[in-house]
Amino acid sequence: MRRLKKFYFLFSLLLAAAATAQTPRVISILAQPAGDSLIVSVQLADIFSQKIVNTIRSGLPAVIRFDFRLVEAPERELQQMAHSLRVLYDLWSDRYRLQSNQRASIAASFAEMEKLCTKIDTLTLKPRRRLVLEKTYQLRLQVTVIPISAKQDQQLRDWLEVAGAAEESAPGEEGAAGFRLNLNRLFSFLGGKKEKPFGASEWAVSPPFRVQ
Amino acid sequence: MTAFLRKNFAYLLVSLAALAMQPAHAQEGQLIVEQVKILGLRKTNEQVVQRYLSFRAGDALTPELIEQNQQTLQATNFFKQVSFRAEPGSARGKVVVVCEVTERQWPTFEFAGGYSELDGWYFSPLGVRFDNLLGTGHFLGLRVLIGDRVGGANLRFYQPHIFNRNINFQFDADILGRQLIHYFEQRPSIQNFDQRQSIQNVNSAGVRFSLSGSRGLGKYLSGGLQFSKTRPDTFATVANKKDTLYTFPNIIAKDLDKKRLSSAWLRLQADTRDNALFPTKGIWGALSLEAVGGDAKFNRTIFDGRVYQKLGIGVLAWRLKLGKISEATPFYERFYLGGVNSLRSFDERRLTPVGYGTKLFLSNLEYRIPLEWDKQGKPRFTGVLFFDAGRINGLKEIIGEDIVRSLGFGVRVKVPVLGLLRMDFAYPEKHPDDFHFYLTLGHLF
Repeated sequence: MRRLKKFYFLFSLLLAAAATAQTPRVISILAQPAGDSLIVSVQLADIFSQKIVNTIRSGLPAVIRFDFRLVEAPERELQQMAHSLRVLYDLWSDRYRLQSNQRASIAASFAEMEKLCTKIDTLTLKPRRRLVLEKTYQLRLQVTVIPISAKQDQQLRDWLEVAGAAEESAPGEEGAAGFRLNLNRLFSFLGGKKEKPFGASEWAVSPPFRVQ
Repeated sequence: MTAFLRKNFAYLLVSLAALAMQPAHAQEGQLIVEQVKILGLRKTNEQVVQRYLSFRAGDALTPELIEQNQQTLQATNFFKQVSFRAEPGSARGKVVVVCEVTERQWPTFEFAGGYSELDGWYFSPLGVRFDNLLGTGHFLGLRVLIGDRVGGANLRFYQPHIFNRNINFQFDADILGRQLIHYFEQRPSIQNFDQRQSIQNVNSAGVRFSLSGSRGLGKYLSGGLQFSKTRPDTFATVANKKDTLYTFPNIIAKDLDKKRLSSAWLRLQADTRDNALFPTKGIWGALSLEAVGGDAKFNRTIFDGRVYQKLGIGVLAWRLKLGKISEATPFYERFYLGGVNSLRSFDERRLTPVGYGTKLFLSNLEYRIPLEWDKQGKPRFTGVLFFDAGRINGLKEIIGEDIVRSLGFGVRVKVPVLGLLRMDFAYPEKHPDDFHFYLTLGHLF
């Protein structure tokens, strides 16, 4: 019985380790103000799980989403910013295409593509308001890798926005129109904000920085 | 020679058949579904998920198609989570699509509300849904209704593809108390209308069984049976005066006893709209024929047709509703006219004759101009110009005209949770200074 318990414990540890390996890790994040912008450098690891690798190799895209939070030290959140990178393997030319809203690039091999995705040096973010000289800021980052479409991860995030189509009834023959609010989903939405989305890294924080 | 031809003809046939049975090959730049794997099903029949997917093995595949399918499956509410990923297939360009779901194990609760032409504003403070409880892809919901002019409970069971056929089955059971509005003191004027509204409760309980097709010609056809018991109150309350009426005109008095009615109905319908909530082109039409027996015998025919067409910067939308019902029909089963979801610029049912009508004509014409769009590309803010016209038998005794027309404008604003908020300003054609403002939900049609 004791042996069985020991086996179960080891098996659970292995499972937990496997699960951790499925999510990307943020190794480092550095932010540097430059004029009205922030220049961000990010280093990631374990970015592609086997499921994501399979999706990319099938010829369908994967999306790496960077969720940034600009924080006035120590805790005041000023702004949320997002950046996404779409990875697509062109089966016919055997090349990987990387597309973000800032640039596009091509990698000749999976290893090269992975390197381009894990080490990002000059990502430019535009804060809404000009940063103030005497204050200290930090940048938080969570990275999520989503197979095929970023919309797959928006099921709860944008629920109140997108629910309209599913929950709103179309005007019928009896001249009625209305709405249905799924209370289970509402509670998940309200309570789920602190939960880590599936396939997301832990939140990482940059060292404090100031406007020079 | 004949033997040679016969042998080669047979060979040709076999070759053609083999060619036809060969799986599709991916052309350059195109992805083809090789297989669809569905993971995570514990109670749900795999066919239930397959029915909601718009692609099969051999179909071309795009990320957008997967997005649409993911949203469709999520909208069923059968699953807590739906996600798609892919694996490389047996050849270049072939894809194994993996759909991973997490089933809902517990019932869901909902809060609902809206506006109905018949019942006014209504709310369902708590409804409970047991969708897909048995894993057959059914919808089962029970809800309590509280409203402006309605109160009661409703149970609905809907099983698409019953017995794995292209036939859908629906069962409804209702216990409802409705308030019917009467205007007993009719006068050919539209002044001081609000003062003479009387309210009569009509209580009913009933069950309804319906079958409808989901493919081929069957999707244009539905039919069913209905059994109900109705008992109107023998008095009416006069609004604003706190007075009670015990004497009704004969047309109402003859139907104050309890009536058991059984009916069979058949409906022909067509829907080619590009979107049910924000149509920009296509038609929606339904012709319903109903024969009622039991304590009252009557027939009812209703045609409701809607046409949508892009025109300039907006969409021209037109609805035509025609109805005819036998003279022997009890007043609570007849037609009414006037109100926010009927003919705008008049109070609810203000153009309805005493004892309600047996012939109805209603036309609503709207020009909808989207002014702002949301992230999903749907109109967030829409301006509307409209023209309504209507007629019901007995209209001349009420307003001195055979047909009533009104004009107006309004806005539609998409708001979270509630959906589309509608604000309309409507003016009667003959009395443009007597305008009505309406605040309600959803497009009129």
